[in-house]
Amino acid sequence: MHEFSLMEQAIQIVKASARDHHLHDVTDISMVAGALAGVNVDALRFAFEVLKADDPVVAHSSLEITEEAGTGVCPRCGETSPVWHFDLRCPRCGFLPMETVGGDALYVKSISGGRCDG
Amino acid sequence: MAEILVMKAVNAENEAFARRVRERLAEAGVLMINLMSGPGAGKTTLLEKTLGRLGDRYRFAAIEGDLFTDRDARRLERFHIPVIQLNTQGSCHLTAQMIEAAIEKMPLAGLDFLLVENVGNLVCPSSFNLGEQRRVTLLSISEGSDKIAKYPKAFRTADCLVVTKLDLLPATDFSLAEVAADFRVVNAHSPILALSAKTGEGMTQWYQMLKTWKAEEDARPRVA
Ligand SMILES: Nc1nc2c(ncn2[C@@H]2O[C@H](COP(=O)(O)OP(=O)(O)O)[C@@H](O)[C@H]2O)c(=O)[nH]1
Ligand SMILES: [Mg+2]
Ligand SMILES: [Zn+2]
Repeated sequence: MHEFSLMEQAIQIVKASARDHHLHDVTDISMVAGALAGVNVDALRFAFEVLKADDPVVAHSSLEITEEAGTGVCPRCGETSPVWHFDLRCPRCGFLPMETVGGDALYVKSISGGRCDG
Repeated sequence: MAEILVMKAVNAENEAFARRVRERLAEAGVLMINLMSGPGAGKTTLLEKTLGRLGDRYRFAAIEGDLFTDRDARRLERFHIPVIQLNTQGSCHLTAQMIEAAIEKMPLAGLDFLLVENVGNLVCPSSFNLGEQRRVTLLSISEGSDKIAKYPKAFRTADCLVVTKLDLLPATDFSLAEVAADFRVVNAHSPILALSAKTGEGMTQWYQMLKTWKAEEDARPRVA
């Protein structure tokens, strides 16, 4: 359950960004979770619902998490294709394992909210 | 209403701490190894044997990560090395921030190895870079041969797979061949060692690998 500590960090990022851009409250948070990032999206959502109550900036935010597929590139033939943790074989030439080039990250994509200046 | 593009990785803060840890280690010429496994795979036992065998050739220090208790730290203190116990109080992994705080309190100068035993857990620790130069994932014979397919991330990021408790092989249906094949599905190059800390079988290769890793790090140009 490292999703709780990840979500705490995500909320810190949201708050810092809101402060930098003079948002007094955050209504929407959009995050992206890569399929290879090693996180459980439901556990992240649950952690957010628990943690948001502690913080007035995000207390009324809704969180959207988009899942991003893993992407691999074959070091032998150059093929690009979707990959999963335990499915890293190149579909074109059979090489194992493909190098992952996408879907490794968990990040805060954007936030929306009301600006202090109106 | 305003929409703001953030595009910031959630682990950015941990990565920043990890970079600082790595810089400090590089300056001091210390090789830090992060040991990960499920609970009870034999991390502390492997460290005890390592200290017993290599303790008078290299200078070691250790950081022990556990939810609670200082039992593992006490096991290693018997070898008269600096040991710091980190209690995560329920959190299932160490973070680079915890390591940075620990090495503040540790005399890095003159050390060769800093051995970090992560919290026993095959899932969460693999998502947190601690700033280590090498990462070792242990899998014990008694856990069964299907664990790489079930917990691929811990194995994908390992610089070495150590199969432990080899002495238990005859008592189980564990297949070394199956584990080796599964490991290659997620990890193209890292070596696989199989050993028993109890009988000593395979331990020579482990010691040899530590020496090789240390020599590799020593050969890297130090950043000024
Ligand atoms: N049979 C056998 N038992 C071992 C071996 N290495 C460790 N153990 C036992 O496994 C248990 C857990 O070991 P420990 O080192 O504390 O695991 P950790 O939780 O990963 O640090 C202890 O009872 C050890 O004595 C081994 O090579 N063979
Ligand atoms: Mg232990
Ligand atoms: Zn290919």
